[in-house]
Amino acid sequence: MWSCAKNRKHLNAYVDGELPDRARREVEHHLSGCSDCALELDSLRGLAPLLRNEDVPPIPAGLSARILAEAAIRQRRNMVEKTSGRKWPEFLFQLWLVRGATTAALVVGLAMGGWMAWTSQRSSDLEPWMTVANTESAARSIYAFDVLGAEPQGSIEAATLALLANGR
Amino acid sequence: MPDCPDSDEFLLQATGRGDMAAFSRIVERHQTWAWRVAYRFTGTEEDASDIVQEAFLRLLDASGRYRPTAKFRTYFYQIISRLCLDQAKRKQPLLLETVPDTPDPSPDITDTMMRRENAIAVRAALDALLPNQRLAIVLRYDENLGYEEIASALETTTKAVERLLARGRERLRDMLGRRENFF
Ligand SMILES: [Zn+2]
Repeated sequence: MWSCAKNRKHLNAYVDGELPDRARREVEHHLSGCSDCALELDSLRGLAPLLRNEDVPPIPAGLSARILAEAAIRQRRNMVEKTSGRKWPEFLFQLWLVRGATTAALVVGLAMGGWMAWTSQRSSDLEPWMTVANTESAARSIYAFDVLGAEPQGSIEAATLALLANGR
Repeated sequence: MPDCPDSDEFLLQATGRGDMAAFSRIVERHQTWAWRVAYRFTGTEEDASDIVQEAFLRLLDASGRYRPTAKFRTYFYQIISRLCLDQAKRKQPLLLETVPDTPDPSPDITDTMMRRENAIAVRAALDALLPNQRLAIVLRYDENLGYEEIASALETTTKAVERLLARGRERLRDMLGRRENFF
């Protein structure tokens, strides 16, 4: 029979159902003859009901709309950068972003939020009009660009603030 | 299945081709569990919101390079896990050594109050874990992931996951065991 020390080493994997058959049988054999290890097992198992996730609040209203609005800005930005053939100077992009895209992206975000609510009630196929890049060639030209390297992080607010800071 | 037009893998590839409707379906479908992981890890709505938002945007950024060799969920768990651990690095460690004392329960204490107290104690105990222990515990208990899945989310080995869970549980029992009503 395994020693208590060796048995304890395997007890976590045993509780998680991750032990191979042979080791599992060894643990069970040990447990049947060792009340100390059996108590230890009870205590480990006792954590599960405590950790039940009852305290998780609902996802904040508007979070998905915010994500989609931000996503729309990134898409537009990538499209602009790609179709213009080069990366825009930061201030030009910010100017463009604040003038037009903020409003546009918010509208798109809200529309998509509404659209999501609508589709969650009535599951339908993807709507072709939602596709930002309508043609295959446009899509290709947008996504040939590697977005990771040239990606300032940030929100609408951050972009606005950056513009204001530049303007000073 | 990547071939199924409604599979996550298919939708993520479509996102990579500029299909924002596909992206919004991904958000709709996965925001709840992403939120659950982030909230259980951070314990605050503000931090959890930041993590969830950034996770989906990173997914969007990476979608053009995504190949369905990796299962979507595995991929997304990895993104969320990285963000959770980064967030923990930025935050000052709380160094909570003890669970706050709770008053002696009066005979007419309600279930709700007990649950609330327990939730506070569990939160404090989770916060006292090392970030990767806490994340392993959250993925195990809240997401019901196996060692293999937790290992790929944390980009480590199953042996390491076993150790993280064992140490995390030991710490949790130490902290929560002080409250007599628990064990
Ligand atoms: Zn024993």
